[in-house]
Amino acid sequence: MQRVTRREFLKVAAATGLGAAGAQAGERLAWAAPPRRGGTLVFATSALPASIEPHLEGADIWQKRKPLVYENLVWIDYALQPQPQLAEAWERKSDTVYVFKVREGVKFHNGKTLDAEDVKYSYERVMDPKTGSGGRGDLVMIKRIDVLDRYTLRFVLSGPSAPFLINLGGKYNGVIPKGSAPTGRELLQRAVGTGPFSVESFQPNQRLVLKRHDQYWQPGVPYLDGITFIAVPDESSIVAGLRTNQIHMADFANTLYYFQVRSVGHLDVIRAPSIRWVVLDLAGDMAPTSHPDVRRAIELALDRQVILQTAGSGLGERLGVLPPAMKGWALAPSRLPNQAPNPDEARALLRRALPGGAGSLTIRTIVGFPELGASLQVIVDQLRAVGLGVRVETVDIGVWIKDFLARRSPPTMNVWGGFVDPDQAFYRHYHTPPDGMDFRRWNNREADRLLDEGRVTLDRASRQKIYAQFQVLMAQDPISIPLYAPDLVYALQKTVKGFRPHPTGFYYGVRYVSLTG
Amino acid sequence: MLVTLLGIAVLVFLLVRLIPGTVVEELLGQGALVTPETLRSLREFFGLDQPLAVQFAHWIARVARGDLGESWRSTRPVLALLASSLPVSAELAVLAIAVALAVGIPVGVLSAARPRSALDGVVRVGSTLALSVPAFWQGTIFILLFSLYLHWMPPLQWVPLGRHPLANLALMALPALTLGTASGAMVARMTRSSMLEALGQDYVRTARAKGVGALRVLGRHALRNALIPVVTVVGVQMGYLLGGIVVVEDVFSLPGAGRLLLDALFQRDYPVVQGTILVLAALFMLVNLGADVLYAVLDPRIRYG
Repeated sequence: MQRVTRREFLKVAAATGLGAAGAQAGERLAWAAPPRRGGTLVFATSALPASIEPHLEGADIWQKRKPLVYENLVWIDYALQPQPQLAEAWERKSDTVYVFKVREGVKFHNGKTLDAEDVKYSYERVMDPKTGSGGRGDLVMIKRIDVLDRYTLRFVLSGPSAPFLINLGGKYNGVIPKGSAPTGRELLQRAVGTGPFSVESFQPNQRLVLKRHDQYWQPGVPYLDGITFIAVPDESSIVAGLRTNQIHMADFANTLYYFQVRSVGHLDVIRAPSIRWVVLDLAGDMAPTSHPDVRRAIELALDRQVILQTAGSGLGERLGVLPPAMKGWALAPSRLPNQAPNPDEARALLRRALPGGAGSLTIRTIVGFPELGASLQVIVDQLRAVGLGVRVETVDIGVWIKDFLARRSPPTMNVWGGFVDPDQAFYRHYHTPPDGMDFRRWNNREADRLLDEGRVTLDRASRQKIYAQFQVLMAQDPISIPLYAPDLVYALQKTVKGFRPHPTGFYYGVRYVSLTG
Repeated sequence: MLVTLLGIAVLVFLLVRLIPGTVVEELLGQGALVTPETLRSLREFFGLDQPLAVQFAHWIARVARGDLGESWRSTRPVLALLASSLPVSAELAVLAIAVALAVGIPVGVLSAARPRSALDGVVRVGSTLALSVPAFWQGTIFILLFSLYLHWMPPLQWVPLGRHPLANLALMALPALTLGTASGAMVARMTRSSMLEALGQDYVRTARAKGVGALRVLGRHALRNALIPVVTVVGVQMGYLLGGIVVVEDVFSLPGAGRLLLDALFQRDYPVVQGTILVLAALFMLVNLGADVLYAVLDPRIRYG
């Protein structure tokens, strides 16, 4: 199956009866044939979360599914733009004041009617340090939230903030009824949201059953009676389940299964660009990568296309800095320095930086992330070819997270994504403390300056220039070396219609799925 | 037994805390804005700011009252989690043992009845192979072969035995076969070896001399004595099965105690890890006690106390 660009997908979607399912508000689905209502979609992945807390559970495996249950004032559409969701409209009164009109007539899953107090409660809960939400950093620009009337809210910011609207639709948020989570334990196993589906039952790590929210505010949707998410740890069993029609749809963590499922005749297979990157993170305060010339040498030693072909089986995009799916922000590799492999220059830089002779470094990888181990094997070979020895250290994810959050990780393989704005991708990760975390200890003042400027510059064209400069800076002094963006890979029975992959990998597109036959 | 369990409790309490990383890091994930205040707040929430001795004292006091605590990730009582997952693992273990005995004993007896024959050779080589094959590989191969060529695979969604026995047994067939293969091989080898020894005894020679038929000699005279060491092997095999259960439940997506333990380990959910290992250890000890009692039933010469 050909890799699908956004343009091609829309053409095929129109031919098979799908429409341009874009923003929820203001757009209607255009179907060649009306979608069939009813049925329960069985959707398999290799894991499910241990809890479904809207503001605390940070695992991607929950975040992907959260848009089906919880909603925000805005949602981020396929063009990565904020669109109305629980907010019907908003007005920017000044650079620091936004007034939102909350949609009337929206019902929570428990029947309560949504109002502005619920919205204020929900965002303030994420902002409260005592809650312990990982999304607090995305809302630090909010000074206060005022309820003006039952359906009107005013957000006052501490300063101009370009990502403010995007961050309101961020993955750690989710509007819940006022007072519904006083201790933090109430919504670990149950959900009360406004989304198109409510949670019927949840078995941690194993099964999540959703049923249609009959009072959903958007008329006519969803089409399904329900969705049953099941966790099947061994993805070869997922392939077998698809083959034997036990599973309607699957999202593969390991893209290699694409080659197995594409040979199964009764399946549709979708590959789509993702906002996700496999990265080699270096350590700015650990020898030898504390030396900028060594970092540059590593970048020049690597052939990222080979890494993609070998470790990623060619299923993705070779990266400069930002994933190409971040349209409007990502600079093409041709516009960045140090992108073409140059082993001779790498050796010269190493001789200058390490006059004592051959250097070596430790690079960490994580158990359970095969793409990282595979990429690292290629990296080890390429670095050895320029005279840099590598010791591979494999650790458990708990160990990795602990050291990473404590800012003491050695050079490491990494894979993450889900950001839709360059501020989300860069600020927290690369800005020095206290405003950011600078997990890799880059300590780059020019980077800080650009990130601070990008955060408060509201004009999009000006922001694009700032983040273009940042990407050039990162390519010149690579504290992180983005390698490739792995494609999203989905397999569906031909009876599943209407699915559209979102670049973040979140299941916005499942809202409009229907089952035929 | 209580002293042993206490020792296991101390060991598992300490060992799980030796693994770097806690539930706090698992919850926050990579990339969260982590202030010292947030970390402190979450560590207090889980009691991780307390000294180890205090944490242990709190936990063991609850265990003494029959309360294994609650999962840190799901807040469900550990006992409730075990109540739903242990029956799955127990059923898998029982079926695996049943497969092992149903295949291993007859094969061992036949092999012993025809020593140094082609059949004996096949059994000996086959049992060595069966012992060598890793369970995860065998399970995956079964799934592949059945789904590819027979267009069938066990249901991926759990069906309790009480709700739909046939569907449940269909679901458990391949996992039980996978888990029972190595045990069956061990049982076959032990049965063969014991039978050969029994068949060489004077009482068997006497029975044959008196005109007792071959089948009766095998089944009534030799087998009963040959089964005594087999009972011991089966008891020991329970330990192997406990380890194999984790792998097989993962491959076949069964919601058993093995998978519960594995998930809890990755998530650093200490109450679930500690409670599950304690309960599994207690069960293992009970099973071996049962094997010892059965030993005495089978062999009147054995008396305890």
